[in-house]
Amino acid sequence: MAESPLSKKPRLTAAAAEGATDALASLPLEVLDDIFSRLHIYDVVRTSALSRAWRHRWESLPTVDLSRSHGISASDVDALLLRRSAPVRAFRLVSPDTSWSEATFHDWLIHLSRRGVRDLCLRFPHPPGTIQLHSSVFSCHELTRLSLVNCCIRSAPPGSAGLPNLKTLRLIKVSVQGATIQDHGGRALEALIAASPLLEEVVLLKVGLLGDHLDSDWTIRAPNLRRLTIASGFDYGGRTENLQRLEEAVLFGPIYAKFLTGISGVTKLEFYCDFILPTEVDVLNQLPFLFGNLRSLVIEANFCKISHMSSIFCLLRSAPILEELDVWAWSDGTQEIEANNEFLNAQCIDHMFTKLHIVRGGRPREENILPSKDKSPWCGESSIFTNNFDEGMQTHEACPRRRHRLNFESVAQVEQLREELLKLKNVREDSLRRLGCKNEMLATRAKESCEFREYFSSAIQLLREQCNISRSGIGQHHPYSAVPSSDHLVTSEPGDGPVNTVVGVESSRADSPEDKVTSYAANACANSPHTP
Amino acid sequence: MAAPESGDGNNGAARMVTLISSDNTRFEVEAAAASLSQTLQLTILDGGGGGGDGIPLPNVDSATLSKVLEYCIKHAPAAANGGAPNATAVDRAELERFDNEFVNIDQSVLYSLIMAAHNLEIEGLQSLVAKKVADMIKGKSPMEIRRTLGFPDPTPEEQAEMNAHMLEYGWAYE
Repeated sequence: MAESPLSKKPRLTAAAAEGATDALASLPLEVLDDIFSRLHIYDVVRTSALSRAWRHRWESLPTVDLSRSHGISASDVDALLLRRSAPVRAFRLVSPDTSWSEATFHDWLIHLSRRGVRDLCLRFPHPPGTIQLHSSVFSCHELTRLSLVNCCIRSAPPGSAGLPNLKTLRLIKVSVQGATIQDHGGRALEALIAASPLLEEVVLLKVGLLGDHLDSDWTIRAPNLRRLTIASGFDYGGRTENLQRLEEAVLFGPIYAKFLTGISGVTKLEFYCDFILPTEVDVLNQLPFLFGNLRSLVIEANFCKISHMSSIFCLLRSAPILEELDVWAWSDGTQEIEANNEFLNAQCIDHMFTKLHIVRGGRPREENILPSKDKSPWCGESSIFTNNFDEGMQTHEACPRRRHRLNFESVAQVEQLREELLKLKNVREDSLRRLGCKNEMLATRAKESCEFREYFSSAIQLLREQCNISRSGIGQHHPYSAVPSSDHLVTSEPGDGPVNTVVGVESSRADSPEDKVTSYAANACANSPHTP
Repeated sequence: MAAPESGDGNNGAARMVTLISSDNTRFEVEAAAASLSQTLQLTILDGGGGGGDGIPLPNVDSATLSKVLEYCIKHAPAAANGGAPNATAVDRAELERFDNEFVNIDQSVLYSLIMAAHNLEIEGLQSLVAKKVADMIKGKSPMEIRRTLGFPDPTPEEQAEMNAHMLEYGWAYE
């Protein structure tokens, strides 16, 4: 093996002027950027006082991450951005309060567009729908990733090129409005997505489309889209089309079965039945195609509802090569249906399950179910954001509902084993504790018996002195001397003190401490008066 | 009592690969653990590293590599469940405890670990060590950071520059 995967050319280091003592400065720029992105901006600025080599280092890093910078003011942000001459590749900001005006953001966006920003995350504290993101965001032509939380956005103004390089678009609790009054939000969304032909990932969480209703006509077209997530309580109009490259889709909301018609090529689908209507079962039942690539299906359903059960089977019938199935079952207690053999047989057709080899199941975790608590899907614009749905801005939190997957049987087994292990541990600790007590008890007994023996021998000594009887005589007639060896089969030498036996017990306690302890106890009692 | 075996579900023996550190020490680990490294993953998927071959890692010495592998072995079972810890709160707390103890190390070791994690592209380890370094800087004055990082005491000239900077960026010192 001549080439190792690691024998790359040495990476650019962030100057090593400080010499060997400054290991931090010699780290690669990306690493330093990663470290500094985790700090409050004040901490970052303070590093410039470290030494001359550090003076402008923080300003040359590509990321300006203010998502952890509590308590900064708008003028701080101004100062930061204006001082920089290096490009700002990533800008992340969680604005602390509602005092910052739309105009402030406008200025920053203009500045960032000139600095070639590629990754923009803005999270507003404003009550949803009250702050308008300035259209200057569309002047950031280099943007590849845009993540917005809690604001309103219009489609690109007429004549603007939109965001031609955008690959990831995440809108969370964002309200989308048309550029003109005639345009409804659906059209605006359509235009927003269509203007970014490179889009690979679109996440729409609780996105409100102003003026949109069930009959609105708009279409999501994105030739390069790989992942699509639509989750909200709104019954959007619109449909999907031309999503040939789509690999993963997550759909959660009312009347969303229609979005399935444009995504026949997915390999992974998550479909949540919480809002499904009986009429949608017909839509599912008459899907004019099979999911020819669908290998993994995650489905959530109320197992007591006939529409949910039927939906599951509709999807299963349409997925001939399904390999993995995750079912998240719950129930509201009102049983509409009994899933007996008759029902199940009626639902099944021949080619179902031919490739299926992994089935997982479980209950949905409460904290992961997102807009479902707001059970009125038909709510208007104002009640869109009633839930305090907290969505992180970080990349690794990109998946909105990463549910934890459980394998029913093996989890049960593991759980059982774990319980048994716990029980065994308890038993072990318990017996160790008991053993400890016994040992203590024995030690005191041994001491007592020693004292007793001393007392006894001194008494004998006294007797001997007084009566002038020979020592051997007493030994032979001693009433206790023969008892222990015959009753307990313990062959203990007269000199063999109880202390030795205690050691023996300790060393072999693991076998059967109880037995040893009791036999020793008897032994000690019986032996103790033994004449030396 | 030994920790319960939490293999990757394969019965039989798990596939092993051999990694060779810069000082020619050979480490044999489960492929699942080594695959936490994005850099190694492809090689391993292609069937490399098995048998007598081994994958040479000329940028990582044996002390660092053994530390890296300690991390990988601990985190491999959780990673096998698709990143979302398919685990109880107890298991997660245990991983967290392990992580905290893991980075409680000498700075020189920490830096070699950072470089290794970076070169091997082990995502979890990268953020763990970056977080550790960030914690070393967090909330400290420039003097304190200098001491933490082991800089020599500043010359009077440097001290003057520091003071000037602190005046200029007063808002960052509130």
